Amino acid sequence: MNAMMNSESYPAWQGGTLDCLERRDETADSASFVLAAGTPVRFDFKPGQFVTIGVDTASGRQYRAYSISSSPSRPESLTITVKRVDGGLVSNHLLDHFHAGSQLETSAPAGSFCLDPADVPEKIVLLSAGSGITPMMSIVRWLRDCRSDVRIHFIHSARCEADFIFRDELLALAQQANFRLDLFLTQPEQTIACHTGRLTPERLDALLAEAGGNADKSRFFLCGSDAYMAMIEHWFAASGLPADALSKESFTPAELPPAETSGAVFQLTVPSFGKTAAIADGQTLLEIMEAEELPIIGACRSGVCGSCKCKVIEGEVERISTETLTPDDIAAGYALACSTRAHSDVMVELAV
Amino acid sequence: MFCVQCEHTIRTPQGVGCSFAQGMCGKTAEVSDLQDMLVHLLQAVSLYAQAARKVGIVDAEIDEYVPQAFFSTLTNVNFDPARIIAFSERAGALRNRLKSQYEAACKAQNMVPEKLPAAADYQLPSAKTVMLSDALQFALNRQKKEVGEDVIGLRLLCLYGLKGAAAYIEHARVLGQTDVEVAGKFHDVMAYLATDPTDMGQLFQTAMDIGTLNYRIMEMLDKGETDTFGHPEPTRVNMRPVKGKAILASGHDLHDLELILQQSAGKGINVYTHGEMLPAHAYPAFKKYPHLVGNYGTAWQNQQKEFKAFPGSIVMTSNCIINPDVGQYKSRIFTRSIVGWPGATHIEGSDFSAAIDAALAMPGFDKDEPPHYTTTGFAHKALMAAAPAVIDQVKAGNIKHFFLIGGCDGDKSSRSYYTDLAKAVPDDSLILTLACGKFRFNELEFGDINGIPRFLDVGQCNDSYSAIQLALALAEAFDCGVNELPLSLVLSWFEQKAIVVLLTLLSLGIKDIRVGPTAPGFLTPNLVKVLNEQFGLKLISTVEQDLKDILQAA
Repeated sequence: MNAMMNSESYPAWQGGTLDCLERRDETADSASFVLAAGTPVRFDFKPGQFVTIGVDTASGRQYRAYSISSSPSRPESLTITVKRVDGGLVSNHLLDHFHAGSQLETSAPAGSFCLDPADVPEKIVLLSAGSGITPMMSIVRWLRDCRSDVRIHFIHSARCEADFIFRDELLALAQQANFRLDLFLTQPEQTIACHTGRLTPERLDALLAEAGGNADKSRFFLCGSDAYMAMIEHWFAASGLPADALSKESFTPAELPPAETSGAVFQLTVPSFGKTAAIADGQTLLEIMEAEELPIIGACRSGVCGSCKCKVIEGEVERISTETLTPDDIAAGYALACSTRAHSDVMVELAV
Repeated sequence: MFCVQCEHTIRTPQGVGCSFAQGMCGKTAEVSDLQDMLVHLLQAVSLYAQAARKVGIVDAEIDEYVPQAFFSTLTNVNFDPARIIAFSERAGALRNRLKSQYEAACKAQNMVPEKLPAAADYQLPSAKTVMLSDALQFALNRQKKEVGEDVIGLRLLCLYGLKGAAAYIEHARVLGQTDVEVAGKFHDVMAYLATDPTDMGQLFQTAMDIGTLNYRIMEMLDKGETDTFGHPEPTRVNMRPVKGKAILASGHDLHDLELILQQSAGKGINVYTHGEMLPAHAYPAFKKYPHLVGNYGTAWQNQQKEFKAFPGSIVMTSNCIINPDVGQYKSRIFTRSIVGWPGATHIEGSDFSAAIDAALAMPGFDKDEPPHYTTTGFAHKALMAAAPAVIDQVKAGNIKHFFLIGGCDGDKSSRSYYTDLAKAVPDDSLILTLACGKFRFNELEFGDINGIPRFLDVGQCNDSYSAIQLALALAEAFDCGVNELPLSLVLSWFEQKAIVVLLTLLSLGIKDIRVGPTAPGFLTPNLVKVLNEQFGLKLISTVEQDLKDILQAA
């Protein structure tokens, strides 16, 4: 409590360099990193939000967003939890090279997937799969610290017990009042109570009924893979629950550092497709080209693979990654749409 | 999604494979995951097909369907989620039918049905959302942590190799060539892979067995093609357009080309081959069609530019199709058989009138361009006929070396290696080529050695069968093994048919093959090392270095 009280008077963290105080290996392929600033600061965020971090990897400076797993009720440090992913440039770099004493660049916390402490419902259903558990942990930890009256129904899916991140803490919480844990393991080992297999819409209906119903009075938080989220969203819509009772966040990596934006809105045109669309200052070309359903391939979405190569005919752009482009390509106007931001009206053509 | 099957896959220092929202080919994560599920269901069918064979049930429809549907998951074949789901549904229905037949036969024969792996009875969910969540457990890199990268790599070598063989099975079937024993062996490998095997020795042996099986399949396909269309003979092909309305036939399916030629005859439409269809010009059966006027375009990766400029309709009979929206020609591209693109017209049955009408509605070429020729058609019969003359020239010291430079093309700039190599080989060498890799150098002039052309285009990728026949004949004439011949194979690869052709060459004991532009992403450094130790398989380096090594060793 001392730390909490003291930190109230400290300045709110606005981004910059953080030190790793501690590394906690959660599972064989995930770890939590407890981060703090060199001088006392207060990490002011809403449970569920993320920070964008930048690290120098073999492929240059890379940025990724990570959900915060700690609670703002303990604002003297900030914890992110990272899971190894196939081809995951930053996650794997952190797991392989990051330890107590390491440093990284971090943005201020952001994101709309969060529980607003000023608007807490009486019941919360948390639905997560795999590493989608990290923002849920922040929500759970905050509620336990500050609002133990709120009923929590935590439904988590993982492959096996060894992959269950935050296992011990959640199993302990499951013994408390107002907290129900339903765990789904596709490969259970029978040492902890769980459901076998995957969560399905039918099973979800049954669990919610068993937990006392009132789905219409609950707020739902959802985070997992695209397929998992699609399944739950489908169920949600089919159940006739109000759309604003569901908050969701996908793992899809948010790759770039927060944009320096003037708030200006420009036009992006693709003459050969007769398309013109608004693009905000600092927005990536790929975001708009995909929204306009232009046939562009965004495979890695982080400036590594080169699939979204396009040609800027006119306009001022900022190329954050030019990884696969030659100097001649760049001179000829080519850019990687996922890592190129507009800073004026731009005219673009697809690369063939 | 996780897909690492083509040469173009994402490679970063942290990992290999497309695993984000889209593959490098443009395949969405949704399609990729649905394809993983389709493969899982096809393996379920094969598990039952394998068991059913033991009680005397052989179902020709199933033997035909499994490789055909598997072919749809090959690179640049089918991007349409609805079609992939339909393939899965049919696989599920066929499995259910076979399962009942199998259980009834067991009962009639007083046998207890075999206990099959759980995968055999996987039921396809009805909602796509559930399919997609199920598909995650069928990801091809499943169990990577438990079994290690080398086992995953060997499983994928087998799965992708078998996928290439499936494509050739389907091409042979279209030409009336099927074989119960081949189908049985195909099911055996599918069923084996469904058990998530971990024995590296056994997996390695399976990869070699797939190579052996594919040799037989290529032989069947060769028979189908030559029985139906005659033996290819060296033929000059015009590589430039001629005036008039136009249809472009792409892919590998000669039977479709014939249907297009028959149905477009007398309508004032010229038919062009594209990519891997080029060798069709050499078959006698196609020479009777005066409106088969030439070849248009180059290898597949240039199609978005070339098809856009093509003033007619385009028929994709097999791979490779890439996004037709980029060049805005989706309304005039037609897919066949296992090929699919969402929103492009799919032609079922044998009526090509939609493609013909689309060609008639287009302006066509407005003038003749000055002709420019390439020669194709040096398949085994033509090569065998020339063999005595070739042998004489070798004995006289005028031909010192043979290079087979071929395989798939692709859009990496490092593939210029193959053009440079073809240009740099000594004047006393012959160059054999096959598949679409030839477009890197088939418009160059190579001249001849005392009447023997220095550049010999053998045909499509599956015509590596012909190249093997020539090598065997030369080895016999010189009374040595193939590996003792002054023959160097320098292959380019892109998709899974190249993988199975490589497995075939390795299973025949052919050594010191060079492969590029990069090693397959699924082969770990350990596996590349094993292939190097056992077969002398190497990656290409520079043209200078490789030529020096090749010619010194000879």
